Amino acid sequence: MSSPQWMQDVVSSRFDHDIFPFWEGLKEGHFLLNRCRRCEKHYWPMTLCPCSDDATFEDMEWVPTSGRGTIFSYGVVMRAPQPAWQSEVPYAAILVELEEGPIFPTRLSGRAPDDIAIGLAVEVDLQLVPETGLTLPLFKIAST
Amino acid sequence: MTAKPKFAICGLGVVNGLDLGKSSRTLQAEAARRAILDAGLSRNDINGAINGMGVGGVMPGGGGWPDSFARVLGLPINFYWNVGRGGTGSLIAMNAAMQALELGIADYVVVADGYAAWSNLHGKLKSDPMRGIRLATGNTILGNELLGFTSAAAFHVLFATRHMHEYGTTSEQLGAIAVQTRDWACLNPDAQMHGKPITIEDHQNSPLVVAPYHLLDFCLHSDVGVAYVLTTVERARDLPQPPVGVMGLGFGEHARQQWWDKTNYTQLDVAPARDAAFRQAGIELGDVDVAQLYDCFTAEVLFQLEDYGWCKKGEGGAFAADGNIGPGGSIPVNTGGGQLSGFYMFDYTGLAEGIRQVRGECGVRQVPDVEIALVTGHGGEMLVPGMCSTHATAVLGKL
Repeated sequence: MSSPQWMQDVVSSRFDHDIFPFWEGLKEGHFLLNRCRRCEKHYWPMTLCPCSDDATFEDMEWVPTSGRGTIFSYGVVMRAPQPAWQSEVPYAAILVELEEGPIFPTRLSGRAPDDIAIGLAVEVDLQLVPETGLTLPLFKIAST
Repeated sequence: MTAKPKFAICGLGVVNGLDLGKSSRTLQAEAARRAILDAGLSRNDINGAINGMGVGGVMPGGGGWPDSFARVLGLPINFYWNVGRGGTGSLIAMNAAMQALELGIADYVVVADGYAAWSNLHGKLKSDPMRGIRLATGNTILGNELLGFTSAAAFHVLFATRHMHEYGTTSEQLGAIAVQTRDWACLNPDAQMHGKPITIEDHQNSPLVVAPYHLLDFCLHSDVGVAYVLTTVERARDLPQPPVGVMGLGFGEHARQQWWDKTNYTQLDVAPARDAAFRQAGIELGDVDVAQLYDCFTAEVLFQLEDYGWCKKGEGGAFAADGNIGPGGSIPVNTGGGQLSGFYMFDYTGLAEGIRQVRGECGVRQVPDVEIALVTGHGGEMLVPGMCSTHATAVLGKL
């Protein structure tokens, strides 16, 4: 895992108001997606739904979702690009095709499994990072 | 019937090496100085300057800063702009430069970029090479980096994995792209990997960095500056170098296909860029004599072989493995060694080689009778909004 200080710096210096609600939701145990009140289509990250030309940002809301999906694509990071990630490799960077539709980039918690494949069912695996106040939305191979 | 272009490249400057110990800004300035000299002009002739930037543009000592290569050189300019997105900075700058020339607010525009990637990574300063990228990209803003997307490779590889899944493309086929690009580099004394030929076995035996990408699927790090001078065709004809006409220019943007629709995971947004550029130039694909395709990783070349139409979607791996892109192949690709084996300077790498091929100054690697050179820029894929998602096409032609 990367250093708590670096992670806090990322949050304090780089997050903006579009993405902040997503990370706040994680702290409360929710995997939020941005949903259109009009057509109920889900998005990540924040988006103005194209379903109707007169839709406004008031029509978009962050709502708890299943946190389930399948692996859409992946790469196995074998070498740590920064020393702080050395203890994590090899890990699987994955795209999750969520049940609600959007694609979400994250990684599988723990070591990359040898049998990783496109199409495997996965579910969110929230990981509290001590000293940071952050909860990371990692994913794991689904239990069922 | 090819079109008559209004604007032409009249000067080219390249500074290229390892551990040069210079800032990105100074590399830009040195490239611009060389380009102006190459054009047979004086610095006092230059009245427009553009830094066509890579990535988000904020590089240590590079673009996106208030200070500029134009100030360093004391150019008597009417404007200095930063423009860019992904790896299309030289061609976005070309678009801006042509408009300035069209409006008559400049006569000669110098476009430059430079990136001290090698010195920043390995040199005395060892400044964090990803710092600028972190500051510049949505990757950090969205928090993807916290989740493990800590490199360009981690994103780009997702496209390759998907292409393998859908079409059975293999790592060895990607290796064929690396090998043939290296074959070209071995014909170019200025290429970083000149004199170091590789085989498919070397590719397969090189370390897995982000699987399925091996080390030899990656582009290089270099200390490079590249600059060119753009003017009207009329002015260019009075200058010493053979003018290289800008026959066509076009752009594509993956964000227009909303990424969540999942329609674009095995293709780049080539179509609108290609169609606009080819229409302006009055050419078809078969008219292209030499192609400089953006090659941050091997798979980007494969996608473009398909998306431009040299082969069908899904057949790029076999097409490359048949030896079509190397010396003696049916379409010479990245004839200077590209970014995989030549030097790393975003779309400027291919642009510089395209200019040289049209001029006919490439020595043993010269493709015979080049009338039309294709140059592409590319920046990321719209897998997630943390990346850029741009494509650019330029058609250069002999006048």
